[in-house]
Amino acid sequence: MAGAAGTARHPAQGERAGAVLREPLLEVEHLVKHYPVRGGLLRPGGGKVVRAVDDVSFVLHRGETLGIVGESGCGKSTLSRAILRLTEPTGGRVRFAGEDLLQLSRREMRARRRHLQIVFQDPFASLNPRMTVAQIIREPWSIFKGVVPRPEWDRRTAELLVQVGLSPDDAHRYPYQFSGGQRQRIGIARALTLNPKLVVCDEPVSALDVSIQAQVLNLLAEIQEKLGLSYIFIAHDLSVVRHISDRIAVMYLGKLVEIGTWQEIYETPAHPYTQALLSSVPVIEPEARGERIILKGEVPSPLAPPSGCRFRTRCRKAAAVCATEEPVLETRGAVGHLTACHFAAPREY
Amino acid sequence: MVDLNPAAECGERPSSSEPPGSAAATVTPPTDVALAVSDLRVAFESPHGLVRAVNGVSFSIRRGETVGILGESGSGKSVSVSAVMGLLDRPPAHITGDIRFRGVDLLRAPARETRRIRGNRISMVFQDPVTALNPSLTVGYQIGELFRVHRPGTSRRYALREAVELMDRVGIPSARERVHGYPHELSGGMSQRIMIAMAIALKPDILIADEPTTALDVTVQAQIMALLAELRRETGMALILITHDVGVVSECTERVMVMYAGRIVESGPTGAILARPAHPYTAGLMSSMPRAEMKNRRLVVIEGAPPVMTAIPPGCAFHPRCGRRRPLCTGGGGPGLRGVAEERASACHFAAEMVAGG
Repeated sequence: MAGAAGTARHPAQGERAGAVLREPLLEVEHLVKHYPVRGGLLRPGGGKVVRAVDDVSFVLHRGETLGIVGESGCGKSTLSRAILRLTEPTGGRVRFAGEDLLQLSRREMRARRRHLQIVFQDPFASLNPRMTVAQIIREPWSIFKGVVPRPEWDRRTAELLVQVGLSPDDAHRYPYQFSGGQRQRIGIARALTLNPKLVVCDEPVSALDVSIQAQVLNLLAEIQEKLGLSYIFIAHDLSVVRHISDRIAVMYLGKLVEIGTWQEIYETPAHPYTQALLSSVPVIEPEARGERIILKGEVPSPLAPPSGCRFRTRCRKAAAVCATEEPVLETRGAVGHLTACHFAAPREY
Repeated sequence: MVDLNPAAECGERPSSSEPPGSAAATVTPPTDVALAVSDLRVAFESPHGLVRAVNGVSFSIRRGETVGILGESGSGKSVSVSAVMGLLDRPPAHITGDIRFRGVDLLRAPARETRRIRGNRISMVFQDPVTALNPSLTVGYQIGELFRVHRPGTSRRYALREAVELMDRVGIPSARERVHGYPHELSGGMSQRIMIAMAIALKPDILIADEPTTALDVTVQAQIMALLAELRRETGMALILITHDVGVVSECTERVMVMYAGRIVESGPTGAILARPAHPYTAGLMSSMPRAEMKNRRLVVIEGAPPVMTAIPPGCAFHPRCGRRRPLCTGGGGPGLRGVAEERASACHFAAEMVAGG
């Protein structure tokens, strides 16, 4: 924990002068994850590389929720897995509480894992069907000895179950005896067993029905208030992300294209991709609907992303400079938050 | 009452479509019913007992209208339309009730006759376009198959030409080359365009779209919904849109039926229902959606979970989760769907109260 405040200099800090300086928990700098495409017998890969995450930087503060939005294949899940070293990053730095996780040996990394947890999308696939809820929750305690001493296990298990809205009696049941929403609660309880500082939520509610989704969102907010942990919240549902996040990062083809507070992203988005994305969301109230920007064509292959700005092939503002010069993620003109667009500007309605 | 949603045009925002009111003029009179479903019941035999998936659903679809069926998983929305499309094997499914398309009894007429309707006059687009297409046949062959089956005597050359034209129409670039391609060469959005091309190939009277954009990204969803709106305008077909997304219902439909535990619990004009729901379940679904004004606040949730369909609660099936529950809700057969306002019906004892703002 010590020294975390000393590492405040960062390209994607997103803090404006005069704002309260908060303590960063996680600083991701120039993170890169490339997947080499292996050639098969019939299909030589030719040394091609999928640039799943390409030079991503951001800061997450203590107690904060950073939402990451973007469409399938934009790299948001790869980003979260690279941060946790569930997949080994190709380059960059991931500073957690002041310490670069990527420099740690496997053994040292394992010791840090109790602070870094993840809740997965599919509550049907992420729980071992042969273990009872109690076994699922306690397994981490037998690995990280001393976090919860054995005589405390029963009490703490019951406490965790109550915290996520289940009953202490549920401890001896198996995952198949629960509904999807309840299983996701078990997944959340499991993520909390070691008192983590950071929980990555990778599409935690997208497999759930609307009425159940709302229950889980309330639960996640409640837990954060009580425990003060930080979330990285990945989702493709933009209303869900707005609801839970303090700040939001927008990804397109492996790059961050815009990052800012939820008001900045949702009320004054300045990147043409963010604007198109937000305008695509169906809205209940007719008076709240703006003009829809329908994107033409499809996302280009990450094997051969466009030169310059990766969004330029579908962008209504694209000009010659966009093909030759890659826009840096920075504040521009009247736009107070970070955008990676040469022509970043709030939308004119 | 505020008239929400004056001109529902799928995927198009009011600002960029026709002036408000023009849709009302094109709505055909209620006598022009294309599809009539009455007291439809579907149950499946299962090792855990009889699964009562659909429990007395009645509705009719007028020519050219867009109707939404809103509900969560297990509410019976997909099973209902699968029964219309004849996609349920009997057994294990037990189907009773009546499904009529222009007078033809789809549940009892000989297969020779129903085949002329299903896939031809009524077609369907499924949720997952990638599994709905046959991976071993070219997309052109699969589109052309419709003509070969439903229009006997169609030449291969004609079918191929039609396939190219349809692919063009649904916005697939370089259709002339892609027609010889296979489904794995297409993205999810492009596959769904192919499914739509197949569904409109024979110019159906009714297109049923079962969660057509749920598997797709939001920008692709916007493309597909805009395409469906455009096709509907051109062809005048009716559209039944099955979805769990209140936003999609609001933007794309004129009328909506809300389903819970195999029943329609509320139906009526979309704008009126969303402005003032007449069933606590509809109200709960809407308040569960994380809207902008709920930022930094707890969402008002529906407690509990939907019932297991082998053991639907007595009385109103929603009563265990309902904040308005009274003793009368917990017994008997439950409230039927009754009129509450002009063209509106609700299956709640307190519907009138809710509409009045109580």
